[in-house]
Amino acid sequence: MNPVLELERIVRRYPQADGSELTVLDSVSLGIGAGETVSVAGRSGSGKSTLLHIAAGIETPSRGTVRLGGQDLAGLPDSERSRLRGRFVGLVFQFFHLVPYLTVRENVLLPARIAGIREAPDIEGVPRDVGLVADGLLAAVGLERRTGETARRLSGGEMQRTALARALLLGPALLLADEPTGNLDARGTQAVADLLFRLVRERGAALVLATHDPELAARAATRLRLRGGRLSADGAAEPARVP
Amino acid sequence: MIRLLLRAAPARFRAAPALGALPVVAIALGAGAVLSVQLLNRAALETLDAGLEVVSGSADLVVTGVLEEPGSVPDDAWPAVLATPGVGRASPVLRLAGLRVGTRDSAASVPGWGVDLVSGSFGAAASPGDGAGFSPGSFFAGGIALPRPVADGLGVGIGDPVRVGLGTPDEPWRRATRVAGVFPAEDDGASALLDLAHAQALRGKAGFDRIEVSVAAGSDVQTVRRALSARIPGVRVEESGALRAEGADLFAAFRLNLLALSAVSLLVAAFLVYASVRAALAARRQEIGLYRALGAAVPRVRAVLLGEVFLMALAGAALGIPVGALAAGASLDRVSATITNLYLLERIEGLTLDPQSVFVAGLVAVVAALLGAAPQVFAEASRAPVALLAPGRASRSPARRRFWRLWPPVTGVALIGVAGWAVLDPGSWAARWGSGFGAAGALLVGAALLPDAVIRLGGRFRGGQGSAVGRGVMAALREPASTGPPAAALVVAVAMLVGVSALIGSFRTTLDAWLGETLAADIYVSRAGGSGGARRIATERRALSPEVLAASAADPDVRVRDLLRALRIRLAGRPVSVLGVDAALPDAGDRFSILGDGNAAIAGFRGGDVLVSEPLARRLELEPGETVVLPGAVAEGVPGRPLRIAGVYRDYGNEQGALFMDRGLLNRLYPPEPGTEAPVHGAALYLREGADRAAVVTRLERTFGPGANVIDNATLRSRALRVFDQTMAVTGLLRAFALLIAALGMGLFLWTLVRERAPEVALHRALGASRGQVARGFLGRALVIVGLSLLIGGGAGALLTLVLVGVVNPGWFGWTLDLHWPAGVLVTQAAAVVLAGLVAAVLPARLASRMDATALRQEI
Repeated sequence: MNPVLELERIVRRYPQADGSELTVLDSVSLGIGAGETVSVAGRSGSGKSTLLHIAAGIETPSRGTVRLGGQDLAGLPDSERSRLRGRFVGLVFQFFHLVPYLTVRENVLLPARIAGIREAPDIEGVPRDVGLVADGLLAAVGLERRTGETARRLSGGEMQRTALARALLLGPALLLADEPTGNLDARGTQAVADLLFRLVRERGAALVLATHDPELAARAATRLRLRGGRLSADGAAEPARVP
Repeated sequence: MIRLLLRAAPARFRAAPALGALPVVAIALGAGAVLSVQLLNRAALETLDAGLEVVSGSADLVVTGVLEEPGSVPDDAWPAVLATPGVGRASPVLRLAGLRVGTRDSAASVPGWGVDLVSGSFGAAASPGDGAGFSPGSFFAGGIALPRPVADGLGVGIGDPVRVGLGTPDEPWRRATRVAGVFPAEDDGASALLDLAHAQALRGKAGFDRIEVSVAAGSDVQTVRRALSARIPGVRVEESGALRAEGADLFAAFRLNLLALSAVSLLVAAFLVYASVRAALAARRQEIGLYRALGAAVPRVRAVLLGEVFLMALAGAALGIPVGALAAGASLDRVSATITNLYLLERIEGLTLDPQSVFVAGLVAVVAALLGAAPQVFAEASRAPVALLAPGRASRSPARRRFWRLWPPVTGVALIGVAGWAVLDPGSWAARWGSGFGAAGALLVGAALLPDAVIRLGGRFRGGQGSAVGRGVMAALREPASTGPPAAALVVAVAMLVGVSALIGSFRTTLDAWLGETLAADIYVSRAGGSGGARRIATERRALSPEVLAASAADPDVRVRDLLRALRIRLAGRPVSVLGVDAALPDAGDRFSILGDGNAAIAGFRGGDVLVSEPLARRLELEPGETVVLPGAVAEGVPGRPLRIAGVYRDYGNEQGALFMDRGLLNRLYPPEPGTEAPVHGAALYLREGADRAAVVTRLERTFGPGANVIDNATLRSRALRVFDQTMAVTGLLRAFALLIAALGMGLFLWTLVRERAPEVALHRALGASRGQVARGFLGRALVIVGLSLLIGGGAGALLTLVLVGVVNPGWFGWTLDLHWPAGVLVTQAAAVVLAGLVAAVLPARLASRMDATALRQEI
């Protein structure tokens, strides 16, 4: 099985005001194939978000190699990297990141608008009109009656469900979820987590989930922990494929 | 808390320097525009004062002739004034226009005055002064007292021989004399002094220009004024302040124009302050919420926030001082040329950065900034702490209630309706309100209130998400609170650009047509060193010499001569030119652009009636068929003969007012001094068919020598248009100011939007948007603002043109203008607005495209 995401010896350092450098990721390696689910736990500031941003190609590592679908991001110009990210990766954020003045449906359709494409694979992988795919996803997340509402009027749980539908619109091979339940209450957390894992499973996507919620982390097949900038297997979970 | 917040202000500025700096720059430009206009207006007034008051000290009353001619106060009026009860001191003065002083090697022109040292009433500016070298004996014997800079320039001292003369350098010296005194002077503008009798001799004419009267201690000024009026016939007696007020009236319209344009810059700047404060407060909502949650009361929060705006405005006002001084300096030559050309004042020699002008400009800028900031400050400070603190929602403006959504467009439409009403009904209160300026101001404010509603309307459209630019456009349309203020600022600037440009275009086209219509003669002759144009009000109009008149009559190519006599009187307290021409000439009708029935008017004119200029007719509400009585006029020895008005003619050369009659009638009404011929101040020459105009001009110039100006009608026309262009050029700087401020504002808006929406930008990047797409999205937002400004501003500008051309000009200046749209200029300006908008958007767009993903860790 071809790896969807490969991270090799990723180092990320941030310059500090005193001239020194803070190492957030220290030679982190990770490989994940289609349909696999990985959770990355760690304290706040441990580098989980940075790891996901690097995996998505929206942040550049200080050293190391990132391959998405076998393509080395370092060799790609920004436009190509952006195109690859838009079609290959779905992103879910802690703060939802919906555009407040757009409607729910417009938010979900945003990746297609940015990519300039009119068709996306449905749940069976058959190319269909993105509008129909969006409607299907909104129905799947239970928002089919709220499609015309502007995002600013939604509750936290609704916002995250919208964000989840958006992330899956173009049928990404890789879903990166950064604290997807961090701003939700217990009931919302449960609902979104169920949806997340169900939709990922149905679409055969790979999932990397950054969270400090042990229960959520435990739902992933592979559990990793970031500590001191290094990635290691977390607790009694299945051994991580850390090269 | 106030201290805490104020102490934190520098840190906030360091964190977002551009956000802090741009509104300061906007305020600085606004304050600079106001200050530059203040300085220029003040300099113009001081120049006027220098002409009026250089000799007067603290006179209470001024006695002048009925005719505003040099020497119009007879010599025997002085003893009569002195004999009037209540008069403490009386000093006759006369001005020596075009005084030249020279040695064998060099010569200088200097303002000159004839004064009476015995009466002792001459002003400090012209005083020989204590301790200065001065020889009274030499002075009374005809010597001249010179200001130090002039004496030094000529290399002369007390007792040295000099020559004095009047007029242009080509004219011969009139007499030789000696330097009687050299007195210190602060600058080159100080005047030379001659004894009164010798000044009269030099001018070759008896009489004074005026007598300045100080009332004796314990006497009432008004009582003395009435006594003087009763005692001395044929003179006017006014309080000395009235002279200055009249003089100031001369170019009040010009000053008002500049003031109105600078006010527009300030209005635009106020919108920018609104936009920047809105952006700054949006970024600090949680901070404000925290202070509120910790117990800070609403008034206190308001006071602190307004205090910050106050400090920002002070910084802007301080920066505006050098900006204003530089702008005024850059415009000095243009304004000086304008007042010299139009109002016949001395040139403005320099600018003084006076504390009062600085204070006024600073105060106006600070008030504008506070007014601009107040709506947002009051709205934010009044919100509930929980609304300010709530994550995810706090950065959004609350949905405004229907009333608050509707009042801007409703008020805007109502204000624009007032302007429309003024245009449709020039007799309505809307048109009369502030002589039309009220309607113009209402229109600008009304137009500024419209973008909000138009943006809301556009935001209802679903779609347009297919391209990066389209997404930017839709984002702008769905956020009226963000897009509205900068759009409003640009709308005002564009409306002003269109309105003023179209006004100037209309004015120029009308003037050109009018000149073509009325400059009927082939060649015009006037006295060199005189006031120039035949229709202009002259402070001292000089007569053509008999030799020039004889030579012009003898020229073989001259078919007909139309001779002009001009004098100045006062009607209803304002100066008016009374001009006499040969009404019987076959081409007489061609000289006037008559409003209404031209044939009847010219027939009446030939029959002994008068023609009044449009500004005069409007000011005194005169209509054809009515009569007017000219002060000082006598007919068959009987004063006060009413003259019938035959018609009203267009006159764009004289906003004070003029009146034409047959020259023979004028000479009967205002007979020349006994034993002299009535003066002729200009001659219009009609050439024979086939005559070579250029050759005749050259021949006459050779014949007349330096004593006369000879100019053909084409040159006169192009010269008049050049003066017009020169006059209007100063408005260009102020228009550029307004556009610059508006462009800055748009840049500021987009820049703050990039900062404010960093997570949104990062989201687009995370969803696969390239840098180019992000940048194009912001250009799309800029396009909305520019498009709205062209749409609403262009429409408002068109209506503003109608207000300026159809209401303000007739109401304020008394000029009817033909409407003309300068298409080329307007297209160029539209291109400039688009270019300025896009240039202003480039930097923020670039900033947005380079934002990294760290913003994804914040909420949108």
